[in-house]
Amino acid sequence: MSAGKQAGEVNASVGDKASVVVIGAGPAGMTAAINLAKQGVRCTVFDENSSLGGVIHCGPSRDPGKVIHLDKKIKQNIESIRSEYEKYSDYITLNLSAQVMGATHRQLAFLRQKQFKTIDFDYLVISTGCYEKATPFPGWTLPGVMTLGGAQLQVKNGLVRPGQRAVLVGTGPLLPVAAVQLQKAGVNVAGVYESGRRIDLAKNIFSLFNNIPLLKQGLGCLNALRNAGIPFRYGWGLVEARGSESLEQVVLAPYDNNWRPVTEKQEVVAADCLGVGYGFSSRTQLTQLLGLEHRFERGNEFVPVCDEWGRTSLQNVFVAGDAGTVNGAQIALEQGKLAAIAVLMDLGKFTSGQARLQAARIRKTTKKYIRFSKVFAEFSRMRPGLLDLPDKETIVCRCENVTKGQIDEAIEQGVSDITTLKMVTRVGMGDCQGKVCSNYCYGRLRQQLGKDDVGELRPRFPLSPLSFDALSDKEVSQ
Amino acid sequence: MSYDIVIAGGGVIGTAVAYYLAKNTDFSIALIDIKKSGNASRASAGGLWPIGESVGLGCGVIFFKTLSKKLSENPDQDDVPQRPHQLPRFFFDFCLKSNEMFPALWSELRESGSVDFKLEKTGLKFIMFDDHDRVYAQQIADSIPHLSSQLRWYDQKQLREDEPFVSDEAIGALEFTRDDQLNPYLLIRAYREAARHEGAVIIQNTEVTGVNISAGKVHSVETVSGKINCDLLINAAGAWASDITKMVLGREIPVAPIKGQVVLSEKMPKIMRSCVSTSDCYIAQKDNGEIYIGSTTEEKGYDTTCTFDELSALSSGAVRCFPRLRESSIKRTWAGLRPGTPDEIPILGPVSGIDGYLNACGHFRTGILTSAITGEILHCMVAGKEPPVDVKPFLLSRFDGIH
Amino acid sequence: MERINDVLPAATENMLAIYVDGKPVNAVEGETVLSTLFAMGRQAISRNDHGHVVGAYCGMGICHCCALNIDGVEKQRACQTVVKHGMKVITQSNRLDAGKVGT
Repeated sequence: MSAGKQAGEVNASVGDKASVVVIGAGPAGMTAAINLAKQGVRCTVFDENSSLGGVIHCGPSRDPGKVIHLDKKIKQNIESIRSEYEKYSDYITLNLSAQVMGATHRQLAFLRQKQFKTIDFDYLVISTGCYEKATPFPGWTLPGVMTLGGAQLQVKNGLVRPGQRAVLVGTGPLLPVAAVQLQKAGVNVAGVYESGRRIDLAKNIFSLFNNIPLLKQGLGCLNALRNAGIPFRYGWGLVEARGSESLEQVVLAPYDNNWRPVTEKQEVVAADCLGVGYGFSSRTQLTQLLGLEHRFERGNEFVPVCDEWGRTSLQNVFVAGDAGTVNGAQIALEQGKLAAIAVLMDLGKFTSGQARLQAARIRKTTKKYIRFSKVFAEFSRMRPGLLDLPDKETIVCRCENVTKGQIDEAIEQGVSDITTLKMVTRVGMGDCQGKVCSNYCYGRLRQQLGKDDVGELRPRFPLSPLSFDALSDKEVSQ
Repeated sequence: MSYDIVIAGGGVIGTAVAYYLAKNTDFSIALIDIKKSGNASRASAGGLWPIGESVGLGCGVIFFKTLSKKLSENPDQDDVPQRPHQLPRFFFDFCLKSNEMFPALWSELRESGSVDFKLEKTGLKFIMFDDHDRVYAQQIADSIPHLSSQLRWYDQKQLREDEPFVSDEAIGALEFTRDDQLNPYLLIRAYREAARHEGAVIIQNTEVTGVNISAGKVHSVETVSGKINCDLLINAAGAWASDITKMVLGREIPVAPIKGQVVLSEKMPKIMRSCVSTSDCYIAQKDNGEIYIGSTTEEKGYDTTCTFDELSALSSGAVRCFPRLRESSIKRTWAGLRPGTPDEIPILGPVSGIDGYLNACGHFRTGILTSAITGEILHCMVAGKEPPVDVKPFLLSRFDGIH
Repeated sequence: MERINDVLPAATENMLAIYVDGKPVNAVEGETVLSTLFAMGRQAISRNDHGHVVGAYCGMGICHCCALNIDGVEKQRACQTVVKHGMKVITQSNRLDAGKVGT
């Protein structure tokens, strides 16, 4: 143990040679790593980001103390993950700026400092989190149009403004939080448009009390927006974005029950930044590549099938956090603990009685939080009107330049599954491997065909483009 | 449901057979397709390399390497490794005849309003890096004197002029000037759409689960979506051909999945004029700029896992030949399952003892290339016409008595 | 080129110089190339394989819409690349651009 550092209490009685690999240094992954370390089990953590904490808590690229636009709670969370890691860092090998490229059942492949490498594992904890669903609409490919989280990340982590005057549209709790952060960062927020209806939230008000911290945060944000004179309109959404070379105007309208714009009442708002956030998809490319059993979860495509510990159809592979089902950071953190407990049980560090006792306590907490997140899952459930928002010429697959018209034409000609749609139109064959367009393509196929089973888009190695230089001339095994 | 002919398998062979039958006969035709992971037609690079494949280059290059390595470990046969792995003359002719059909097929399908499968006249160059390669190329040329008009030699200087992005280390090339390429997905679509225009019915995402036979004759097939009556069943099930023969003949036939891993680059500016084969891999750039690099030859059952060592070896081979690839990235990799046979020759035609059944399977590395002639042969068999080649060496019965 | 979109005054931070389209720019240690470009007010930063000029979309490594030429290597994601002293960034660069094909 290195000198000058306050070491965490570690139960190091059993020396273990097991190789435990954790993917993702966010709330789930770091909590798993820290809980393994507390029992003397070493692990190796990989994250694509250059700092730990995940997208939610990786923190600003500069000293968070000076950052005025982030609230205290966020700063505390960032600090607590960092300090816990510091305590146990002798047990945790942290590989930041490392991109996971693929895996077999016993080996993980990654790119770090332009080098392609592999690492063998006995246990794998996958906590790759989630990403925002892309929502195509006319004008969405204009520079200045971003995902809500993408715009937020610039002020939160980059400490720069993504534009001067912003409009935020979408649904769910991220909307007011991001709006306040952008406003405090000096962006002129012209308006916030929540496509869900206030009534649908109000009628579930009691369920929201299951998560007082998040409820308080949300209400606080709404209050702050009111004080800043920023309109927050329920039941409104996008019609289109306009601009010649980059975004100039956003056209918005009230949405009906199916989220179809009532265009007679549309309004045009000038803006150079548009953040659009219609919810999240679990990041399952790796679990799919591994061939784990998946199930279809409405609103979230395919998610790995897991038991109560997060154990997947492969005995030695676990999923924790939003990578399994999108429930947010608080639950992810608890699931990280559960995965760690299960690994520790397998390694003989805990008896199953000890493990169950700890797990029961954790599950009691998560249960309450899940009641809260279920309210938003229903409130923010994507309504079919959103799938009709793009017009014929709107590009859906940005990598391969495939329009909505081409997708509809293929479906009209009898294409009834995502694999054939890919072959016929080239959707999902580009650099992002369909992470951006697949949400729309799945939705459109289901809507047009009236069935849930439209097949599954299988990710391929490498999960992100990998330079020939890195892969060639390498002794990759061992 | 009742059709005269049911075709099991919607890969390149099944769709080609459906097209040739639908176009040239009045029979009602149903093509039944289920997507299986590893489907070779979808995994293919789309090379039309009748000479290249017949002499062990192209898709089979690693197969040849493995074979020659095995032989070189045997001291009694130390002259063998440099001899091209060549297939019999009748197979050569079968490939060449099919290749000659493509230009007409291309215009025919485009004119009928079907899909453009992007036939490109590229040639296939065997790029030589050392004396072993040169001896090997010379042996290829010597063994096919009747095709000398389709061969062209390049010295180092000529090669550099013709292919400026090939490595300076290359010492020359032998080109098969009529070995070309097309887009395999689009070829399958073109056959399928054209078959549909001609009246064939395509039943997608459906698996054949049983075959009903009475008095030695196929009279219907069972599928997950119901029974289909038919007078003739054509087995075009690729690497899964034995699944069908187990239902029809009660036994497997010698068709086994042979795994091939492929690497695909992101879109690149045009860096190759021809398709290329080295002794490491084949490399083919498509019209959209993507570059295919293939492929391994592995007997791993139905496993389609991509393995890092093999992908690295393919990438290294490609970079050695085209150093410019170092600036590019690998976008995707995958593995396909070729329907391999012990003698690398397809299995076509009837089987004694059973009526109403024809094989159209076992096309190994050359399914895209020989799809056209396979369609034509099957059409001739069904219509009682003289096939364009002698089908005897392609019959399943050639394996009789061999175990 | 000036930084106009900093949330906090950047002068006190560790600054380093990078080159955007040949012109020197002040970047802050630890930030991504994308943040530097946003700080300059640059949104239309990339040219995709179909000739369309686009900007960052997801900003977190998923979509590949912010691909730039960084230190001579094409298609590097601005949002995932942390700035380094002397880094050369070329915006709206694509190896498939007409002038570059076959060269």
